[in-house]
Amino acid sequence: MNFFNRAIKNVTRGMTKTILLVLTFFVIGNFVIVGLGVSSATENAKILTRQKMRAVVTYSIDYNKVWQYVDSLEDEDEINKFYEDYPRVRYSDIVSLLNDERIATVNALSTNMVYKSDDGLDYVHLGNQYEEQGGGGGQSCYYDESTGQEVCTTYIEPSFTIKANFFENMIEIFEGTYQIVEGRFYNQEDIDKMNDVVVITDTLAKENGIKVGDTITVDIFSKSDLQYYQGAINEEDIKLELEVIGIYNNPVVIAPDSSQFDWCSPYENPQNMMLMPATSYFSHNLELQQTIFDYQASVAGVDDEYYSNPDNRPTQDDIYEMGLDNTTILLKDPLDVDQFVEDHISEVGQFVSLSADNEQFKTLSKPLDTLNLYANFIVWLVVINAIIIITLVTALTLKTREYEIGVLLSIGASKVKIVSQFFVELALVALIGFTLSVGSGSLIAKKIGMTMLEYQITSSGVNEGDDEYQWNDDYISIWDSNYTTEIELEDLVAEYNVTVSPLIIGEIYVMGLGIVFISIIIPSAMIMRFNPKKILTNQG
Amino acid sequence: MSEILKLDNICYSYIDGGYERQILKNLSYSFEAGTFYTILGASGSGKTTLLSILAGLDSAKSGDIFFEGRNVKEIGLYKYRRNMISIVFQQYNLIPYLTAVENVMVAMAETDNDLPKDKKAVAYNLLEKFGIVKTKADRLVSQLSGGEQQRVSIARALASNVNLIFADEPTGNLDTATEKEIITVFEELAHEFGKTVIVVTHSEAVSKLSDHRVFLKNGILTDLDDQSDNK
Repeated sequence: MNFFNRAIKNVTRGMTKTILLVLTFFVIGNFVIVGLGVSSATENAKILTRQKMRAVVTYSIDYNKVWQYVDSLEDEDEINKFYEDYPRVRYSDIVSLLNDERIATVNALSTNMVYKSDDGLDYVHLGNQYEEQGGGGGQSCYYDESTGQEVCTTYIEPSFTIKANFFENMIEIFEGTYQIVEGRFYNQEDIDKMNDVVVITDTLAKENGIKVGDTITVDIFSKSDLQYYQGAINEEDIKLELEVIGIYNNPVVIAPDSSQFDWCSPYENPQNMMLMPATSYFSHNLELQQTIFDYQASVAGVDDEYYSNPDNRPTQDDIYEMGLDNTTILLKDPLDVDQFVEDHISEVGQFVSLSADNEQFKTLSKPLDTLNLYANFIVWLVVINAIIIITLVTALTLKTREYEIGVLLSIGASKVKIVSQFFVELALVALIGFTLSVGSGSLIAKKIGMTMLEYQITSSGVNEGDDEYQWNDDYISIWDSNYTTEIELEDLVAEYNVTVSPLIIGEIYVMGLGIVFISIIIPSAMIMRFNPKKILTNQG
Repeated sequence: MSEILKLDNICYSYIDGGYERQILKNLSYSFEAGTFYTILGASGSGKTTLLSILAGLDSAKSGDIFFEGRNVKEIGLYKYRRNMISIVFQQYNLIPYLTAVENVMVAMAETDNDLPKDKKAVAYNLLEKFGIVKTKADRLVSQLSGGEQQRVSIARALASNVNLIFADEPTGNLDTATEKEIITVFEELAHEFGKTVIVVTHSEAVSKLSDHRVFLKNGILTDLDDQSDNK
């Protein structure tokens, strides 16, 4: 008849006390299950919804900070100096971030408009009003007072867009938005060796009869730029010859009924978008700039402060200092984005923003967060009350069982064993109470959980602000790749499912044991102070 | 006969109303094995205190107790109570939510002494020896009479297979017939089983049946049968 058996006998034979305690634990269990169930459902809803969103972190210039800084400058020279070295997103700035193992791939992109070459391929025509009216090109003339002549410059509309990336795996390729239908995408070797390779859309390839392995030609500068840099560069200099190594499918099309269709330039048409290594593109760009610099230097002569200084001549080393649109970092796990930003925010520059693009998600999550807060509050309130109640009940029970303790002490039972018996008795009762509460608790949690969420949504007013998230219409921009996944409150609510999982059941039992353990501390201290002589000689 | 328990200069006092009250004064005494002792004394003479000290429920302010030649302090009070002695109380002190046989088995579970494997069978046998048949042994102790409960209490005292049994007014709540039964049991324990039984009592009837009557007065034990101080 060890302490465990004695505990079982006490529980099974003192039914009135046992039933009352079981009822107490049953009620506690129901509250805890409701709290934990709702809390877990809110967490899960957020996690599941966040997992459906892209795991993107954007590294970009924070223009608000830039303007604020410029406004704070009073000295004109200081302002001019700042503008000379205007903050840009550069490859060299983001290198330190890239060692993080959470990163899946990175878009460090430069978006550039290039021109149809005389002997090059033709762009994909939309056949819209814009093209019918001349395609945006034209001539503008002005009267030059110094020469007394009219000067006319021809403006030529760009035909293509080149998206140049510093990394071999563009997010769109990684995620499968762009599908390589033939050939391959450029790799790290192409980037490192600055190979003149390009990947073009299947539509563009088809309309021009281009196959993988063919060479295409586009102009980096327009013919009107030749006019501007008169003498410095010629038609041959601006030609960019690229080997087509792959053909991809770009599913983005500008629909004829879309708002931008009629006035869309050829370069804005996603089917005219080419993909190539940023190193290669910048290398050609720099070559042109070097040629222009050399020409200007020769024309300006030694007296010119800028062009006479060879340090001002662009070099190929400047490739990694060229400005990017922004950098989008795709992480492997959407749940890591906030932590990633937190880990790296101190590494970025003064005017840079490292953003998880989570604002909408956070705003929509507010009712769930509040609900989670309430649910956790309920759990803690109940647990603390439970500890107080069970401590008091156990302490009061001790008084009635004082002489039993005296007897056990008189036969040499250790106080630890006596405390253990009390612990087992309470733990058994808690086990029964909590087990009974699992079924009822999960039903109540489901019912109350949904009601609480509906109340939270109504009182938080998040639904009323839905319209502000519908700003992102169907406008397609070559500059902005919107990697943010748009979500609505319904997405979160759809994932909100109050269930009592095995994990919660486990948590309840652990919590129950914790309650019993803490509740037994004060009675244990009382037992430890018991003197068998006093107990046994004070009787009767 | 061999000495089982020896008291050596035991002193015990407590503070009462600001004054120190001396209960036991340099008390020395030897108890022999296989003997039935009764300790007599007026109310408040310190009989129960003496029994508590002998049974390891309390400690003397000074002096030593030797069990079979070993100092109880060295043995440790818990071990001493668990393996070397048993106590029978006036109030029986049985655990109410356990049956008679389970109460007996409680003591068997605690002791480190060698016991037969089938403890339940031993417990039933012990109870039967004291007139508690199996049907009664399986009842909760609250369903037994006072005499039966005291017999269960004695059975529990014997269950841990110890040689020294203390009893504090064991017949105080019993009628004369039952008292006689219980005293007979103690006599048997001492004489047939070689146990030492030390009973604190007010009862002249009980004391007359014991082998040695010891009187506690002014903190000193006097052996009434020898008419000489046992110091």
